[in-house]
This record gives sequence, structure tokens and C-alpha cells, in this order.
Amino acid sequence: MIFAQIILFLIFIFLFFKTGLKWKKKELSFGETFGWSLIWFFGLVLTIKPDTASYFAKILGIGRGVDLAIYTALIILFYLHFTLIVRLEKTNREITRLTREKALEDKEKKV
Amino acid sequence: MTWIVVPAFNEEKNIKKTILGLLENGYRNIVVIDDGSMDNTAGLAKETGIKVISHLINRGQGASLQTGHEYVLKAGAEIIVDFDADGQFDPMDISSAIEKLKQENLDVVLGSRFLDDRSQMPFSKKYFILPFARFINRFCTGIKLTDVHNGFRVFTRKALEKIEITQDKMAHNTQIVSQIKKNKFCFAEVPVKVSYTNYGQRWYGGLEIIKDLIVNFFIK
Repeated sequence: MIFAQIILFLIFIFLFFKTGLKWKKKELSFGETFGWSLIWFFGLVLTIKPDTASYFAKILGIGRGVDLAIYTALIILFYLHFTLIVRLEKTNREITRLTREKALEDKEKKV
Repeated sequence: MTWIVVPAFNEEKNIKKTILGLLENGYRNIVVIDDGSMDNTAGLAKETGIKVISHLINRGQGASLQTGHEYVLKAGAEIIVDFDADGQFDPMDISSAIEKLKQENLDVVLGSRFLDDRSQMPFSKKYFILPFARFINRFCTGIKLTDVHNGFRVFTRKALEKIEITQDKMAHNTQIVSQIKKNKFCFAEVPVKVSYTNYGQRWYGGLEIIKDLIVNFFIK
């Protein structure tokens, strides 16, 4: 195992550990824990056996394993970014609802 | 009873002139929604003796309109007019819009800058931005209009009770037209005069609207 692999291996083990801890504290649901664990698991597999990426890349018609890893990371990042935008918009609407209720309540008090 | 809803944000230069114009035309039931202005918009509006509702923080024009709509519906409004605070609309256009609403038994009347030549629009807006925005609006709502994103609207109480604006910013215009279609409201356009004192919304504002509409699709 080369140095980069050892570092990555430790990072993924740490992420596994953190995910498990969050589940135990009930900060993550079972589905979320499973999803994240699956991602860390694939990361671990790719760290220990980097050739696996090339194998899947060939099946999908992508040239190199590293390209597959980059495309996958981009899709995941895009998805997470979009989820954040949607969540932010929901929070914004809640803030608007509160602002409106307060404004109308204040007006009623003055009348 | 007719109520005029005026959303305002940092409009201290125009708010008084706008309100006085409405008062001079005989409209007594006016509510200004001060959308967290950092200037004296609310203070100047209050000086004219009309109702003022203040958002503690800025939430956008769509949010202000919804606040105004909720207020006037509770106040017993039968006809509701949305009117911009920047002094670009002509209060004289309100009476003809209300007349059309009543005579033709409509639910909603929308203002259009393209039905006569009173509005002197900036060239780029008239020939590039608005036609493209019209196309997007038609694509999103399924309704063909001569104008787009115009703040002049007249509603009956029955119609407004069914319209809920959840788009806080400028995408509320498209959302209102969508709800007109969804509720199968009878509507018409009337010519309105818009005097441009500033350029108004720019092309990138349109991109923001498209983004808001896409995000909205995933929130429902």
C-alpha cells in the first residue's frame, strides 16, 4: 500500500466511524446512514483495489477508472448542491411566513 | 370595496408621490407593505394617512404582495389592485381596469405595456428582454400574454382567495399567471402606461426567475 492509499484508507474508516456515531445519536436516519456508508464502502474498495474503478469504467464505456471516479464525484456534488438549494429555499419560505405573521400581528395590535 | 396593495422597498423617493396619486384618484383604501426598507419609506407612507404594514426584514416583492393580499382579504376587500410603489404606473389606469373586470364579469385583469404606445420602454427591454421573457412565461404557464412581469393586476375577492404566492421574489408574476390557468379564471389584459424612471429588472433578473421556478418545482 502506498502512502496516499494509507491516508485515504484512514479517512474512509474515520468517515465510517463518524457516520455510525451520528446514527447512534439519532442525527441520521437508517436510510441516510446506509446511503453514506455505501459511499464510504465504495471509497474503501477503490482505495484498496484501485483497479476496480477501471473494471467498472470499462463496463460503462468510460476510458479510465479515474475518469469514472471524477464523473461520480461530480454527480454526487451536483446532487448535494441542489439538495442544499432546495433546503435553503424551504427555510427562506419559513422565514417569510414568520415575517408575514409578525407584520400582520403588529398591524392588528396597532388598530 | 376596492383596496390597493402597494409593495415597497427603499422607495422613499417615490412612495409619497405614488400614494398621493392614488388618493387624488379617489382611492382611499391603500395598504403599503414596507418590505424591510432601510430608508424612510414606511415613515413617508404613514404621513399620508394610509395603512402601512412593515416586514422586519426584506423578503421580496412576491412575499410583500402575499402579505398585502392576506391583509386586504381580512379587511373585506371585494376588488384588489396590485400597484407598484416606484411611481411608474398611472393611477388613471385603475378605473378602466376595474370597469373591464365588472363589465365582462372577469376574475382577473392584467396590465399590459404592449396594448398601446403610451409606455416608452428602453429599446433592449422592448425588443429583446421582454419578448424572451414572454416566451418563457408562456412555456411555464401555458397562457399567451402580450406582456410579462407587469406589476399591475386587478383581482376579484373570489379569485384572490384562491391565489397563494409562495415565490418571494420576482417569480411571483409567473406563479400568479400559472394559478390563473390552474383555477380556470376568466381574465383579460388592459393597456397600462409605464413611465420609466429607471431600467427596472435586467436580463440576469430573468435568470434568477428561471432558477426560482425550477427550485419551486422540486419543493412541491
